[in-house]
Amino acid sequence: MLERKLEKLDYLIIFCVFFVITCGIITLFTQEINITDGQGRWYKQILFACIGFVAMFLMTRINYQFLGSYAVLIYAVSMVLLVLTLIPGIGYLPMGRGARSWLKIGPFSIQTSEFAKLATVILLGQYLVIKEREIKKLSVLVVPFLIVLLPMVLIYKQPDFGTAVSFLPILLAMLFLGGADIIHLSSLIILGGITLIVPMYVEFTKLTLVQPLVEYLSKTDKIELVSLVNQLGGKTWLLLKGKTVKLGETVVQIKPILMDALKEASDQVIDENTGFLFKMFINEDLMIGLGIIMALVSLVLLGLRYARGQVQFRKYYIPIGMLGLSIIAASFINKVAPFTENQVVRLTAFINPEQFKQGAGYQLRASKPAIGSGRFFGRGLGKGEMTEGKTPHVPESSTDFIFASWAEQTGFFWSVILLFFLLAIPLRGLQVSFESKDRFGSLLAAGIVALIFFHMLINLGIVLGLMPVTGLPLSFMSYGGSHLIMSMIAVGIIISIKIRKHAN
Amino acid sequence: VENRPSSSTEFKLEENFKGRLYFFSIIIVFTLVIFIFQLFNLQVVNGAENFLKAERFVRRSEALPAARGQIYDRTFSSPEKSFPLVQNSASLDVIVNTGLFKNNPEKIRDFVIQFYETLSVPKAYYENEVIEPKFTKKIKSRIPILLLQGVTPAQHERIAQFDNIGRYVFFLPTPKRIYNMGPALAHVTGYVGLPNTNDLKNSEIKSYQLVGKGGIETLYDQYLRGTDGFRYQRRNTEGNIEEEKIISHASMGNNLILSIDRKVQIAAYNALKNFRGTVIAMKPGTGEVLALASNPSFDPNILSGKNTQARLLHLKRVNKNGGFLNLAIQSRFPPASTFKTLVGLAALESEHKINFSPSQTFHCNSRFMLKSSSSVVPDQEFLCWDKRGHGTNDLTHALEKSCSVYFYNLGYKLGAESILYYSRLFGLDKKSNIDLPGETEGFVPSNEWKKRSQGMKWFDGDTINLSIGQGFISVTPVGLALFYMALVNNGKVHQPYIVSEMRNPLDNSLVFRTTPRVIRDIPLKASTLEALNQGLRMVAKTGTASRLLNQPDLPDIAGKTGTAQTKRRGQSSSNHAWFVGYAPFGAPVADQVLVVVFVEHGVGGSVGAGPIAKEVFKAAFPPGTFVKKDKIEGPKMDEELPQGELEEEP
Repeated sequence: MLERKLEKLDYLIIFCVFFVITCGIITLFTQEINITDGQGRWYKQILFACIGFVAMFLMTRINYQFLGSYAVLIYAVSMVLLVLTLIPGIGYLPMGRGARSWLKIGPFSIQTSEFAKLATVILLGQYLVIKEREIKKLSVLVVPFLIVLLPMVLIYKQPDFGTAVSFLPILLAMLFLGGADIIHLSSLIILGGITLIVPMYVEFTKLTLVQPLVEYLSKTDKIELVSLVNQLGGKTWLLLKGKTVKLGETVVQIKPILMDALKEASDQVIDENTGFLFKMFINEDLMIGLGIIMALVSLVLLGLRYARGQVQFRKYYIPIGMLGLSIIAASFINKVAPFTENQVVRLTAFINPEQFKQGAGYQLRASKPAIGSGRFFGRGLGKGEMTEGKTPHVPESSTDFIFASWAEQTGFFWSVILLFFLLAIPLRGLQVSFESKDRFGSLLAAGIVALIFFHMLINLGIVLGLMPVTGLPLSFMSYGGSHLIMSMIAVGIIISIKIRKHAN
Repeated sequence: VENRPSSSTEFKLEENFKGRLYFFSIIIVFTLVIFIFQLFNLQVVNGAENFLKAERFVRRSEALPAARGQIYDRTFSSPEKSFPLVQNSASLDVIVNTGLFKNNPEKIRDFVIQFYETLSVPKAYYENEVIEPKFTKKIKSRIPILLLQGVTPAQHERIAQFDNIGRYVFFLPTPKRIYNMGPALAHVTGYVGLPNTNDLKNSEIKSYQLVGKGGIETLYDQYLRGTDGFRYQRRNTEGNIEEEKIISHASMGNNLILSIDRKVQIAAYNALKNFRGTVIAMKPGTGEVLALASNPSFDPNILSGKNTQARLLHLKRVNKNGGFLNLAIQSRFPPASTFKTLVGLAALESEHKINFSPSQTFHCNSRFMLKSSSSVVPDQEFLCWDKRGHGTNDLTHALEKSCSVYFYNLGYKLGAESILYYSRLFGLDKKSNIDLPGETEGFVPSNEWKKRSQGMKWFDGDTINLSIGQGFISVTPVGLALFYMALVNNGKVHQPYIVSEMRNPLDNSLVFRTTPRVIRDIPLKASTLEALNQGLRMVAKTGTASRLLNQPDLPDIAGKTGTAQTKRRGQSSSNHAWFVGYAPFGAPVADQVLVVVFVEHGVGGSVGAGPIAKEVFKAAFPPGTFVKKDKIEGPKMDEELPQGELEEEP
């Protein structure tokens, strides 16, 4: 009995996972080959991989349908873990690991957000199976949204902006595969897009206006403002909005006369350098009013529909309402909590890394040449000068930017081979989802595929300079136990689904 | 809400789901294609470019500036006396270590203020110059900020008392050029500065290097400059150096040894100090220049420094008074009476043609009448400088007394053609090609030139003017020196030069040595030379310059005074003064020194130029280095005065 089941193990996906993990360990090893006081990440990663393989095989033994039965429990436990992480004393922030909170259990530190991802996928799959037939209703989409919103908020609090945002594409993918209405999905995308892109555009434009403002001020008699604006940078606009702005530790205070001059100068600069759209966007009250009007119009149309049974406006009331709501949301973000300079730089630096010399711009400026310098056959293993050592030129070269390290050392040839093996994992997962005879198995496999694939998509997109920098690990490659073990458990679930595809 | 699914709905859902799975897998494949495309773009298409970009991250190549060669005077061969004319000295600069504090500009600002307060630098200075509006930006972008230049030992002590000073600043030794002779030798040495756009057209010159600006520094720039070394630095992300590898060491430029004699040079410059003028002293036997001074001058120490207010003021002042003009080679003046020697030479060399001998006399009653060839034009009268007249003189005595009437007669008899021929023969219209930049040539007129430029033929009056070195002719001081060199040296003229040797600074090995080179060898009759040199000796012994130059502490000097009439009539001070002479008279030519002194508006040859020449001879011949042959004797003549009523060109 046991032997028969083992034969059905998906050796292709296991081999792909094994290959990618091995590449990761080789990269971690070669990064420390030239230094004497390395952290030994490679053998820690081997340890994690061993744990991961054990967990993966255990997972193949468990019938995935149990996961469905216990979906709510699993989700609840992972949320509790997330909450625990937020409690000071239990969760902690390791030095130099940026914005990632860990939960310490004995000798192990666990990144609870990783397991929350998997738990969310399982619960979403279960919910979508239950609501399979009602999925075309807009109201059914509210619960999946809430399922995702809870871990997002908790992880955002950690704070880990990148991981929190990564839940959205997983939600979208699962709703899509779960059969949600395309119009609903695209409306959601448009709403979310406008809500996020408009404030981003406004803040980005404001950042680019700092230099013209400095130049303008240096031509006026208010020279003392030049140094202030130079120091404040993007914060100048917050000051102009009347918000409290800190410079280092001290709160910036400005004389009313200078404030007036600054306001006048900024108006002048905005007038000279920007177009109609921007001027409208920065007038939040006007925009909120416009959004409210649009929302009201759609409500009236909706009311008309129910009152008279007229259907000729059906096409319009949903988009108009959506647009109105998103404009309100965008203006609200703009007014209450505009994106910080750091976030704007992270999210826009990939378009032109040269514009922002520091921070995220720096990462991209370093990552692209590092990859490119590998050329066709690479610099050779252990010769990745951009990515090796304790403080590599490409920051995070052992975690988020590990692909840059591989590409630098092995070149185009081996990087493409690695890419094939990497993306073969979600493709194979899709095949399992396709062949699964029961709905939960299909959706669960698809959800896991979405989880793994979006990590790969976003990580490689960032590393290759095609996407905003958010900070997600490359599954099976990046150093770090929690994500590796979580990903391998996920693969174990896929195999479990495959083994049992004819069972029921 | 239906609870019982129909089989068709089930089928539709299943189909829908599979369609969406296909769509998803297409997205994955599409993503793969895009990633491969981008990888190909980064690694293959732009691979080489990205490789270079990465190199810039990892390594920074840095030039190790080579020290400029030093410049010595002729005492170089005796090390105990040797002392460079131009030397290098490291000046210590203090620079803020911005790399460590790029995220904390406030801290570094506090430090800078404290730093200046400790050194009691005025607040106004550092608030305007250092903590300017761009200060924070500079820190953030890791631009090094210069805090202090040329740290003195006392300042260094006070700076060292800071806690962790090494964290905040580093000390950068920067080469500084020191001109020990200052303005005295400025026209010979020139100065150094950063290259201008024109200099940078030469690909060997880097924008950070110092290049010569004038003088030897310019002309020998490529030898003095040396070769910069290079080092690679591997830096980590914090900007700290992880690994340093020197690819090539800097090799210092060659040292130059000048023919300049420091003592003579200083004597010449000091004697010139109150005048506008120039002194050239050279060895007629080789062409070595012992001294070349020109006043007004400039201070190369100030001009070679950083562009401070003091430098700008100095630059402005020097530009205003024409201090950059090297009068010795870049200006020309009528040679006046010093030209009489050439007229005499021309006459003696063509004595058969014009039936002339050194013993032929002309009578001077202080005036010379030029008979007009036409009845319409009145006769012209030319005066001698001495209204009492000089009586009857032969050539030697005419030179001694600088009798103009004698030379009017002689010149008239000889004709302009011959005089101009000899002027050209001795190169008065040519550059001397001395090794200094920007030389100009003298001017020797001609019949054709006059017709072309003034539309008039050459009049006899022009010849009369020419025979006393007035009128159209003008010479550079160095050009005149070369003519007298021929008289001293049997008609041989040596190429004048300043740089006599170039040596490798490491092992002191010779790179090249200038060998004396004869540029003109004019066959002159022994009798000619004898007659002229005797005349020149008489000038200093009993003639126009004897009162000053016939002294027991001076060697026997032979020479000629000259007072050049300038066009401003009636202003005696507007006359230029010349003195050309050599000593010791009768000694072997190798021991002799030829001196040319020119003083603008120096009143008269013996009054203005004589005392300067005397100082130069004194410095060139310290007591005990010469043997006086002639006794001090004879009547002292009156000093030559300007010829107030000289006729100007018709």
